[in-house]
Amino acid sequence: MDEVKLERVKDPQGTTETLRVTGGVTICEARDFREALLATLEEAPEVRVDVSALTGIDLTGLQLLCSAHQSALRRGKTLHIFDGGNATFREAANGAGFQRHTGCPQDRACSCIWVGGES
Amino acid sequence: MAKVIMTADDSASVRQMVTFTLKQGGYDVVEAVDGKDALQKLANTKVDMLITDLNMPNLDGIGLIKGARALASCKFIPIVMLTTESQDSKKQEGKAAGATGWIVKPFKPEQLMAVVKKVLG
Amino acid sequence: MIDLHRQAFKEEAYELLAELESSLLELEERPDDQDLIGRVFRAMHTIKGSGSMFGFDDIASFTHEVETVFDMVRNGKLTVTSRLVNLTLAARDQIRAMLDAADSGAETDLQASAGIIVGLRELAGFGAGGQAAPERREEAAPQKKDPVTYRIRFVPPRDIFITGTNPLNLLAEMKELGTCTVVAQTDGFPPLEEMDPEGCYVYWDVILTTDQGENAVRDIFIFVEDDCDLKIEVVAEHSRYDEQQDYKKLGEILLERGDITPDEMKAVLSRQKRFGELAVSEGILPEGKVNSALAEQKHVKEVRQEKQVADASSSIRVPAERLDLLVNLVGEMVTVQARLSQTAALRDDAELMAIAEEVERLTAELRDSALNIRMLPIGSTFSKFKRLVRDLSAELGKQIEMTTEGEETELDKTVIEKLNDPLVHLIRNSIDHGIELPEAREAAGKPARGTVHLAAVHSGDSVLITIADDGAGLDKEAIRGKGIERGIISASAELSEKELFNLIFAPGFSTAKTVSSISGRGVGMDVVKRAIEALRGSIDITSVRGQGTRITVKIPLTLAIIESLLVKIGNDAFMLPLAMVDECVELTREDVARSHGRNLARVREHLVPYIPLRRHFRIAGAPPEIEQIVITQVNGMRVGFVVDHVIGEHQTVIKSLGRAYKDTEGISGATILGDGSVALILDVPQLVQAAEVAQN
Repeated sequence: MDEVKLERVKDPQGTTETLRVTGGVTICEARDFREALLATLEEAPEVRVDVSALTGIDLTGLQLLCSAHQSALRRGKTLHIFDGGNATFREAANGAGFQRHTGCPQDRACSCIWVGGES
Repeated sequence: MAKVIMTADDSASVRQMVTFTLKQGGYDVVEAVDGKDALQKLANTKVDMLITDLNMPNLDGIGLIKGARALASCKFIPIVMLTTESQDSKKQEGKAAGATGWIVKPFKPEQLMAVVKKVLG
Repeated sequence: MIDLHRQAFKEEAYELLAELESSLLELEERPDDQDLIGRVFRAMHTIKGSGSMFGFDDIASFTHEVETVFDMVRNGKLTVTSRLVNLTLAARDQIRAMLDAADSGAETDLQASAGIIVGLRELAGFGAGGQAAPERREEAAPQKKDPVTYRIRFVPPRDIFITGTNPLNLLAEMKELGTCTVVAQTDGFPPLEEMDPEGCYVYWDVILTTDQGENAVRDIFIFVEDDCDLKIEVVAEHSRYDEQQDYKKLGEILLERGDITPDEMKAVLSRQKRFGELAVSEGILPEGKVNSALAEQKHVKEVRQEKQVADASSSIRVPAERLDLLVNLVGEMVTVQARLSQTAALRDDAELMAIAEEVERLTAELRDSALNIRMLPIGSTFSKFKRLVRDLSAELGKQIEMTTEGEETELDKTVIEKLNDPLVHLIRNSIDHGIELPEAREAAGKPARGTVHLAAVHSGDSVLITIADDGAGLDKEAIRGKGIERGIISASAELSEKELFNLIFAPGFSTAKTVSSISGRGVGMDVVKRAIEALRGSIDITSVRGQGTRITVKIPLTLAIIESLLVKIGNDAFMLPLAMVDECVELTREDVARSHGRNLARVREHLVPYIPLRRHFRIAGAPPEIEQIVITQVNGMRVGFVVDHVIGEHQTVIKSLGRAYKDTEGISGATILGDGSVALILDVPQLVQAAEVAQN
């Protein structure tokens, strides 16, 4: 798997911060990934996680994304996933059974990050 | 890039069979003749999976599993132990040491491949 | 390839044995050396393990004995003595001999092996019966089963990743077993800052439909089942007869899963809203639980739908009533179609006639398919009887061959089922009372082996099933005597042969001198007769003493729509089964006069007897100048029926006559014509028979 790269990019207005994840996120990088997500959540009210150039993600990565979303909601912030149609990411999420609207006790606004089972 | 599997066994014939089967299955194989040899090689080689015998001189299988799990590169890799049926308690010991699963001897090449596929995905 | 590995093992084993020899000799010097003991144990262990891997089973099981003893030594349960060393050295030599013998085909001295084993077991302190070598587990062939839907809740341990297990691989394995819906549950997730990035927090609800059985599902979790929380439940079985499509209600699923209590459910149900939405908005359940249950509902419905599509392409079970309804509707349609054709012909409207023809063609196809659905060849029933004949003749010491004919003859499925018991009884009778013992047959100049011939043939609107044997035939005097004895007939009664034979269908009649286990126990021929009559069939018996008996069962195709010839006498319409009709010829007044009152017509140099139906049915009025003779073929005999006019071919839905007309001679049924009038269907064989009787 390609080495993971975690880049944080602030947009000019400063309300949104993007965490761009490239390469493969595995359990070996899970610690780094969590720190990056936490730091990004601290920084901005709106967080965008760009996984469009992701080449692989394992269960720990998916768990962290889901938990980050739940944490954002608790803090009254928003977190979006931008996958740009990345098939690898969608397949990984689907294969692990992560589907929209499922299992999230926090999500009252139907903002669940996961791709819908129907699409 | 082919995945790399290490086979640690003091029996040359078992090593030969395991290596042959895995290579046929498209894997690269690193051989080790006992636990000590295996640990030394693991320190320098990154492997995706370890298949180890339990009864080996110098360092036995349980010791190897513990040692491997202590290495950062082997913390999360699947480790499968080869056991004989008389060693059922060894399965538990192996699991406690960090083994992912086991293969009971005697096994056929297909059974080996099935387990490799099961744990390696 | 195996040979390559075997060779490698042999080389390795020879090396180990050489090393073993020196270790053993050293061990005799230093019996407490743990290192040496370990080395001996490992050598034996490797020879056993690897030997079994490469097919050296004899070596493996023999070595196992030595290994067991050294395991005890290793654990301090046994001390090294020179006797142990001697025995082990002998064992070592024996293994070497076995290795030499392997692949060369030479025999090894099993006696020597046994001697060593006994010696070792004595040393170890257990008898000759001791610990047996590891048995090879028999691998049961996986059986193909009906698919079953399982609900699997898989909660992996938090630390599953550090044992090298990737739960996603387990999910992937489940997907390989069948149709699989995976729902990840994330309700146990801590906030990001508290989450151990290397821990596993997610758990899954999996709905899996597979025909591999529950063990195949459990096998997936073999390495983790002791550590994880795994619940596998059957939620639906999809048998071949699965006709349901609906699945459990959402609340039921959640209740079954234990996600909701009955009280909670009641509280939710008391509000008229969608259950799932309510349960979530009331805060009783996290949405994930509801969605997982919804996924199960959807999954099972989809599996059932797919299954129905798959079934439809192979075969499908339909309740018989539905088929009856279809056949009835088709019958009505045939009638309406006849009316359409008739009307079209009368109007002389080319366009309408074209349509009518098209409808006629389609109706004929529809009729054939509708009837075909219920029809089954009688052959499968016949083949069951072969077994019966075989078993019974063996039991009775008779030699009997069963021959069959007309297996392809199709009959309505329900008729076939109901025919089974009467036919079994008739065949049993033939075997028991009809066919003689081999000696008796030979004495009578017949082959020792008797024959029971079973035949089925379509005859007009009926199927005739005959059971003919070449046995002793019926004993008229015995029947008569028994009839008198049982009080069925009076001693002075004058009976025709037919009437006499019919006595055997009287209740409680049995002519066999001894009651055997085959027939004559309770069930008599009267029961057979009643069963056949219940199918609106008839049973007929002919027999020649010494030559055999022939029983003919005639079963009408009550549901059938038959092709028939419509004729008219005066204003009355009649039908003759087309299958029996040979041809039609004219009959003029001159012809009648020429035959001098005998009912015979000359047709191409042959004389054909005929029955004037107008007279037979006492229909008033005068016949036309030129009448028509419909010549039929019955039992190989040509017989004519005189009618006024031949109208033409017709498709006829047979409506059975009411009880009042049941015994009307010469009529087998009725049908409704296109114009709504009724036509009677002639029972041709019966009319012929009646005419014969009248003539005699």
